[in-house]
Order: sequence, then structure tokens, then C-alpha cells
Amino acid sequence: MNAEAVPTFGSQPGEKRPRAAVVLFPGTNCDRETYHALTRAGWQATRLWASEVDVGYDLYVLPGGFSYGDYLRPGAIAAHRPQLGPILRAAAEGAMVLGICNGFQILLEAGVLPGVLLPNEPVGFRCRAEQILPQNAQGPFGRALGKRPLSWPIAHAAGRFWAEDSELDTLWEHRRVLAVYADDPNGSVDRIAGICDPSGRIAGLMPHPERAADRRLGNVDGLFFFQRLREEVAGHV
Amino acid sequence: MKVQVTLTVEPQPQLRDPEAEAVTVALADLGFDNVEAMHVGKIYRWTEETPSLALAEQRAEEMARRILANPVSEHFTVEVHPYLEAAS
Repeated sequence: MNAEAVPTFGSQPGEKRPRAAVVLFPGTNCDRETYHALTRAGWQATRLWASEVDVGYDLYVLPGGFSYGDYLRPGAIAAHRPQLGPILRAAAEGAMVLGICNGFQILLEAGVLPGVLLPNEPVGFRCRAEQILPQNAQGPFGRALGKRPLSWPIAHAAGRFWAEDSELDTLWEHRRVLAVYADDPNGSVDRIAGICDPSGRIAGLMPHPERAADRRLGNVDGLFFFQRLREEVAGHV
Repeated sequence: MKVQVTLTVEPQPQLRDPEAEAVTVALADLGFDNVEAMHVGKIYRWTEETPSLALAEQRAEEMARRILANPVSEHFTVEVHPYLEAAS
């Protein structure tokens, strides 16, 4: 099937497309659909190994998967690799960083985002569409999520978000909760599905917007998200 | 001196541990129905050359804090013993 036959939300001809790096660790497995979703949303996307990452991208995506086989704890080994350094330096200079699923676990293990993702409650791998309710959070990710409910797939065994009460208060108070689940698929505290850092430019999401980004799969809720995220970069050029 | 280090990492007791609950149910199904307060954790065991038991313990604690345990959700204990090669 010709992918170009499907309506896309890409940039206008001649418009400079913002650059997105899809960062791979051994065991990452959602990089192709993430690349696909970003490209269709008008990003100039590149898949590259964490060791090849440099500053200079507008967005760094840590995609889902099982980095380093989920050894130690999901995301723990990737979080302590030196390769995360350039990404965090770029973020300090204004780039956006998005961790999806295992990428979210990596950002938590690195201490970039607060809290932890524990084994689901009840225990088990859950793979299904969930209704995601954006929470009008601050920053580009909060704006890109929009206001209406989204249907995004989840696919995880350790997605139960938990943080100390004081940390939770801070997250809500500073509008850093990006989205919550309408139902309760994994036992997360306050049904939290995603959060961002104090700058609003580093975000973690447990559901998979990249798996809802192609009309042929019956859902483009994630494509809108990546398109609005692209417009956030355009807004700052 | 050569020592053997044992690092035990367990979930924080105040956090619900669904894996331990599943294990408890499975044990009860087999007739082991008196099991309470189960916790599922991990044990890391290794040997190393060190100037002292205290230094080995200190380094193991640092390893746990930096990567082997997540202080948000887990706690750990360290044991260090002189390591005696098995007599041949």
C-alpha cells in the first residue's frame, strides 16, 4: 500500500521541518512506528543508536521496548549509560525530550522525572486501547495533548506510577501531570499516565501515541499529538 | 583480602507487591496456606579483592544507591564475609 495515499499532517512545501531523534538502546522495539508517526506528522526524524546521539535536535524520543532486556529494573541500565548525557544537555538548551513507555521508565530511573513505575496491579502485561484524559499541563507536551479525551494503546507490565505524597502534590500544583487514564488499567496513583519535568520540556508517557498514528489502524489521536508538538517547535523558531 | 558480598534488594514494605501476592496465592493452591507478608526481591552476590570488609560494604552500598536498587521503591541490605576458596 502506498503510504502517501493516506492523508498526512506534514509541513508545507518549503517549510523547515524540525528535527527529531528516535534514540535506540539494545532492546528498544518501538522505534520504527515512532519514526513513522513523527515523519507523518511533519518531523524530519532520524533513528539512531544512543551512542550516536548529539545535541542539535529539537526533539529526542526514547521509544518503548525492553532496553537491556529490562534487566535490574525496566529502564535502569539505559538510565545509567553515559549516552543520556547529550540528550539532557540538549534539553537544558531548549530541546524537548519524550520518553514513551520504556522511555518513561528510563527518565524516571535517571532521576530526570520523579516517581517510579511499579509492576501493574493486578499483576500482568496489559495491551489494549485506553482512554487518556489530558490534564491541561504546562509546557509544549501539555499543549500538544490538547483538551479532549484521546484513545491511545497501552502495552506494559510495569506501568503503575507511584510517587511520594509530597511529590504528587508538587506535580499537581505545578500542572505537571500530563494525562490520566479514564479507567484504572494498572493501579497508578491518581490514575496518572504521564508527567513532565519543571521546565515542561521533558516528558514521560506510559501509553503509546505512536501506535495511534495511522488511519489504516483506525486511530490518529497520536498523530495529532505529534503534529501539535511540531507546531510547538515552529512557535519557538 | 578476598570477600564475598551479598546485596539483597526488596520492595519497600509500604508498597503493594502484586508479584508477591500472586506467589502467595500460588503457594496456597499447593497447600502452603500459612504464608504471610511475602516479599519478592533480588539477591546480587559477588566476590572482590578489598583492603577491608568495611570498604567493601561501603562500596556495595554505593552500588545499590546508584544503580542496583531504586531508593524510591526498594530498600537493600549488604552482607560482607571473608571469602575462602573451596579447599581442593
